[in-house]
Amino acid sequence: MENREKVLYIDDEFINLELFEINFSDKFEVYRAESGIEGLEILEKNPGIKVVITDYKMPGMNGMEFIEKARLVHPEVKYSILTGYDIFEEIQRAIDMGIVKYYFSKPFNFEKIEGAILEMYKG
Amino acid sequence: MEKSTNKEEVRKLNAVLQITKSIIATLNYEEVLQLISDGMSELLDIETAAIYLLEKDDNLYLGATTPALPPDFPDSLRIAHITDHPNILSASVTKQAVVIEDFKMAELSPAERQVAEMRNLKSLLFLPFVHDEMTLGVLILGTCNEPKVYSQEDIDFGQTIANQLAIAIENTRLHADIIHHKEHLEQLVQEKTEDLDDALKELQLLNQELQLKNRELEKTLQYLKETEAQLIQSEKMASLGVLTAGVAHEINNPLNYIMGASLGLENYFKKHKSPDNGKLQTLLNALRVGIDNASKIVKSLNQFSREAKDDIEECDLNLILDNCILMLGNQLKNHAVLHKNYGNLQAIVKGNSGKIHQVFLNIILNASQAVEDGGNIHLNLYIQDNYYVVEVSDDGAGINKENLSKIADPFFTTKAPGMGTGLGLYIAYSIVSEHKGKIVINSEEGAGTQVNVYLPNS
Repeated sequence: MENREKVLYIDDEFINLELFEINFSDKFEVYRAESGIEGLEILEKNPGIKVVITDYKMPGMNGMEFIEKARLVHPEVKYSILTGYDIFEEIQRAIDMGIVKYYFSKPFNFEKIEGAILEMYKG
Repeated sequence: MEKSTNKEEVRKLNAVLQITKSIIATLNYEEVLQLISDGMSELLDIETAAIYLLEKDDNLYLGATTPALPPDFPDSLRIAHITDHPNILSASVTKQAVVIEDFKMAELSPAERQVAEMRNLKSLLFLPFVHDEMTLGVLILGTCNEPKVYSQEDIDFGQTIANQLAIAIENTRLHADIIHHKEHLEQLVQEKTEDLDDALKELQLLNQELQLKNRELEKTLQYLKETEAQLIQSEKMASLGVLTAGVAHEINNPLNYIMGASLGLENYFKKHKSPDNGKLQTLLNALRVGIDNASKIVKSLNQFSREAKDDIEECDLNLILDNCILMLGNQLKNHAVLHKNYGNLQAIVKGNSGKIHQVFLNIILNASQAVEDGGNIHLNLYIQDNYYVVEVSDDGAGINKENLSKIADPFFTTKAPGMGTGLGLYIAYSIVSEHKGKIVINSEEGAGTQVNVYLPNS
C-alpha cells in the first residue's frame, strides 16, 4: 500500500470529499482538505504527495490562490483544478503557463482523472 | 378791311389747328412745350416767346423758348426763382394776363431787366397757363426792336388759347409722370425680381444644406439605434453570462454528487455481487444518461453566453446546432417536427462560438414560433462555393414583403409587446457580417420562410 500514488483533493463540500475518496481510494492514497489552508498544512506534513486536485470556488482562498501559494513551497507538486465552472481565462492562462496541469469539469469523469493522475506521476 | 379781318381770322384758326394737331401727335413733354411756344408766337404774331413752368418751392423752370434754345442748353441756366420775376409771379397768382407795353416805362426787377436787355425786348405779354384753378406755368411773349400795343381782344384770345393749352401741358405732364412711374415700377419689379432670384438661390442652397444635414442626422440616428441595439445585446449577454456561469456551477455540483454516488454504487455492487445484475445496470445507466443530458445542457448554455475575448475559436457547426436544439428543447418538443440533415459534414468555422450560438438560437427560435403545432422545421448543412450554408426552413406563417424589408432593422418586431425585442435578427445579421458571412431570407406569406446562413469555410 505504501507505494501507491498519493493524491490530495481539496473541496469545501463534504459530500464531494467523501465521494472522491470512495471512488479513488481503490487506486490512490487519497488525502482530503476542506480548504486551501488545510491543504497547505497537509502538503507540509506529507512530502510524498506529488499530485493535488483542488476545487476552484471555496470560501477564504480559492483554488488558484491556493495553487499560487503552494507552488512557492512545493514547486515539484503537480496541481489541477476540478470545478463546476466552465473553463475561463484565469485557468486557461495558468494552464498555458504550466502552473495548472489539468482542468477537470464537474460532474467528474473518473477515467479522465485517473489517467491524468497516473500521467502526472510518470512525468 | 372786312376781307383782311377774315384773312386774319383764318390765319389764326389755322395756327390754332396746327398747334392742336401737332400737340395731339406727340406726348413728349418738351416737344409739346416747344410747339406751344412756337405756335403762340406765330398765332399772336410776336417774335419771341418763353414758357416758364412752376415747379416745387416757387422755382421756375424754362421749358421752351422761341426761337428754340440749343439742345445742350444747361439745365442750371433754365432754373430761376419766382421772387426774382415779379411779373411772372403776378400772372401766376392772379391767373390773369400781365401786359408791359413798353419795357422802358415799366418797373422791372434786376433779373427781368437782364433778360429783357439780353433779348432786346420792347414789350412783354405774360399769359398764365391755368388748369383746374391751378397755374401750371407762364407764357411770356415779347416783341423785339419796337413796342407793341395789345388789344384786349388779342389778350383775351391769347389767354383763352393758353388755358386750352394748359390742358395739353397737364396731360403730357401726367403722361410723363406715368411713364416715369412706369419706368420706376419696371425698375422696381426688376430689382425685386433680382432680389427674389437671389433669395430663391439662397433658399435652394439652404435647402440643399438642410437635406444634407437631414441625411447626416438619419445616418446618426441609424448609427445610434444600432449602437443602442449592440449595447443592449452585449449587456444582456454579459448578465446572462454571469447568471449562466453561476447557475451552471450550482447545477454541476449536485451532478457531481450524483456522478460520484452512482460510480460508488456501481463499484459497491461489483464487489458485493448483486442478485439481479441486469436491472442494476439499467438503473445505473439511467443515472449516467440523466447526468450526461443535464451536463450537456449546462455546457451548451455556457457556450452560448460565454464572453470570449478572442474571436478565432474553432466553431463546430454540428455541435453548435445541436446545442441550440438542446437549449430550445422545450420550445420544440410537442410543437414542431425537426428534420436534421447535416450531410455528415464536419463544418468548422473560425469565429466566436458564443456569438454563432446566438445566431442559430435566434433563427431556430423564430422558425419554431412561426409554425403551428405539428409544423416542420428543416435544418440542412451543406457547402456552397467557399461557404458552409446552414439552411433553416419552416412551413409556418411566412413574412409579408413589407416586413421582409425591415426584418433586420434593430427593434423591428411583429411579436406582441414583451414577446420580442426586435433585436434577434438584427444581432444575427451583425454577428454573421462580423464573421464575413451573410444571411439570405426568402419568405412567402402563408407558405413559410427559409433562412440561409453563409459562413466562410476557411
